[in-house]
Amino acid sequence: MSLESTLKYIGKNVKPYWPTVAVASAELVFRPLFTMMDKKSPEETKKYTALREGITELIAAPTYLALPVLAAKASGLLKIKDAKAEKMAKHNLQILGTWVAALVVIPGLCSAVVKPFMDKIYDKKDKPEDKKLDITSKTIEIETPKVQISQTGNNEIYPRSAHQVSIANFANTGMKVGG
Amino acid sequence: MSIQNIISNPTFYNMTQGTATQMGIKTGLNSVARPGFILMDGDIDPHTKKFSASKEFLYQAISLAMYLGIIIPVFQKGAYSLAQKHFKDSAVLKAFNNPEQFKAFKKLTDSEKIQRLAELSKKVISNPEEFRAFKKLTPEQRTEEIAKLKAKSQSSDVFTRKNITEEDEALANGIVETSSLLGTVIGLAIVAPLTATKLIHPILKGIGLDKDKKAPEQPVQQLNQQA
Repeated sequence: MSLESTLKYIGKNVKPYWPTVAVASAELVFRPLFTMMDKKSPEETKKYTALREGITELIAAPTYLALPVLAAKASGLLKIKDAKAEKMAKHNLQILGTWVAALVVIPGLCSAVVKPFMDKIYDKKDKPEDKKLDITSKTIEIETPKVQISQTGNNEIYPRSAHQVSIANFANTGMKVGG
Repeated sequence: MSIQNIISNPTFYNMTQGTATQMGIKTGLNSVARPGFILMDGDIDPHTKKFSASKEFLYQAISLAMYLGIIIPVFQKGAYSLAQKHFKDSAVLKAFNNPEQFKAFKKLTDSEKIQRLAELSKKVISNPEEFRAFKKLTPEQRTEEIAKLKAKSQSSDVFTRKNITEEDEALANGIVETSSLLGTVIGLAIVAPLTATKLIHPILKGIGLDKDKKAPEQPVQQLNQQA
């Protein structure tokens, strides 16, 4: 097949779902690869993220192909008689199929498949990216006055009230006075 | 209006032609929908939600700007000028100097295409010198000149539906679409993840959003009052 005939074939037959399938297939390789190349993240986090991204794209690529193809087949049900109108209907349905796949079906499939799958592989407690870890504690923090302790041993620079010294402080230090 | 008419809407069909347009619309929709889904998630705390939604929006917006502003024009124009050198005898690549001109032509109806090609041919024969020479001719000579130009219609200087057929249009369209597909894959799967992610964090910091920064805590006095 020459370059000219290949270009003519693409020019005549290009479909709206080709670029989305091509990008999802390329991301199937490159997204996990880029994640594994990140030097800042810990090894376990990288493996977890790369696997999650790989599975996401593994779901996305065939969905981007299947949905527009099925949508275009549905145009047959509409029984459009005009050939030009049928061509336009197929194209429009393929575009809509791609959008539905991107905005509804793929996010839905991913939340239904990826999370349970990842939970099966990784024990929940070992999971590095747990949403719940980000939740801010709602407990009221009681402020306690902080006692400043001199690092040089010169206690005279601090007011006496801040560090009350009593014999009880020496009780269990192993220090013996007068013995 | 029947469902058939809605589904086969010609305006929607014309608006969604071409790989670059389709991917541009899809990325634009993603830039709205993905942050929207994050903001609707009830399990995440407000600060994380705001941070993740802003991050997702910025990623999609930067990718879209790079894709439509740099990657697609570079790939399309580069591939088109390479093709003009490779397919020297192609009338369609001579008639249209750049991919934008060809894309505008492709959207026309059959009769509009004939008219457009006649305009392009006129441009070739009516350059100032030729036009002045043509004006000096006697009516008989002019008729002869027109006959000569008609005979020339097979050559690539005069463009008609004889030398720019649907097959030739498919070639030019193939050049535009193949370069767009390559640009899409390289741009959205390789260039955008490597560059956009590096731009996001400085922008987020600039607008006061930090991953580790928690939402401001309520003053103790206020909490005591609530209790």
